[in-house]
Amino acid sequence: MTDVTTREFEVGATVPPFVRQAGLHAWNRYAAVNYEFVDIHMDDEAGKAAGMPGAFGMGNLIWAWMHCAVEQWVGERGVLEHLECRFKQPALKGDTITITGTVTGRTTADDGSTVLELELWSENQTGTKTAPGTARVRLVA
Amino acid sequence: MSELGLVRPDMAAIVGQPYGVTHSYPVSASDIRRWAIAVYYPEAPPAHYLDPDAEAAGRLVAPLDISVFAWAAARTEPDERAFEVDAKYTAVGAMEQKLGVQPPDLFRALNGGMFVDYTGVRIRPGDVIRSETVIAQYQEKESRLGRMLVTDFATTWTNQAGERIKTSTMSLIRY
Repeated sequence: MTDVTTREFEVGATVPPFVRQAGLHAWNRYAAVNYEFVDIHMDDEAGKAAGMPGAFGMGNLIWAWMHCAVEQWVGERGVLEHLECRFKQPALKGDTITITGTVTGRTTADDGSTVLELELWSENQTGTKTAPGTARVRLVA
Repeated sequence: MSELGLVRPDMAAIVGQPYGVTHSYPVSASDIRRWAIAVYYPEAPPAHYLDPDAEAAGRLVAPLDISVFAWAAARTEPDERAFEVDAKYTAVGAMEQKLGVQPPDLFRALNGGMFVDYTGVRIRPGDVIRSETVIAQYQEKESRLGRMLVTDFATTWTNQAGERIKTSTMSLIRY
């Protein structure tokens, strides 16, 4: 049972930061499961040819980390129903990427369950939002 | 013809028609564990992914974002109306040719974002996933870069029982 009165799910609450280091160790592992062996994610010269300072990370991995952030926070107390984001800036080697967010809305659905609306985003170590998004989570009553 | 002239009548006519129907190999417990380990690296994924008893107990479910088609598909159904187009169209993500329609003459592209709706049906070991894609909608926009065509490609996964798992939509901006 979920105690939906808990303060961590109130409007204004923070989605606990999910922090990862961008770089080949993370990218190679993701490439290996997602068959994403693309030069721009492996080779600095290819990254430079694409207009970046070097190799850069996959948008799909940021997407995955957004899922992880919600899963680590909610666990079995709820389910992610909707997620959307825009990739504005890729992660570069050595970047510290933080997925975090805010509860922006909280309603009670017809079936009595609690539905949370979130702003959820990826930001780098400068505080730049590299992938702003939104999400909806339904708490399991 | 549409207001800005980017959506021809034959393009409008293929909205909602499925293409790219693909069937996965059965998902394995190892597929699920490896995905979870990779995306949570360098920390361990939540304990249930690594619980050796979870599969037998029916508690092992895949991360929501898993791709079960990344390395290979078991079967892809032919798109009967598909025809070859110049690589300059496919380089910007054109898919109209799979439905027998000439893509628009727009050769620059941006990823306009993505969104997904999950139904709550989870992927479990042994599941065989069917994927199909539709052009969900075309929208036209005027921007500082000129006339833009926003195409939403919506891909729906269902399991072997016909239960819908998710619909994920990618917005492709061509201009």
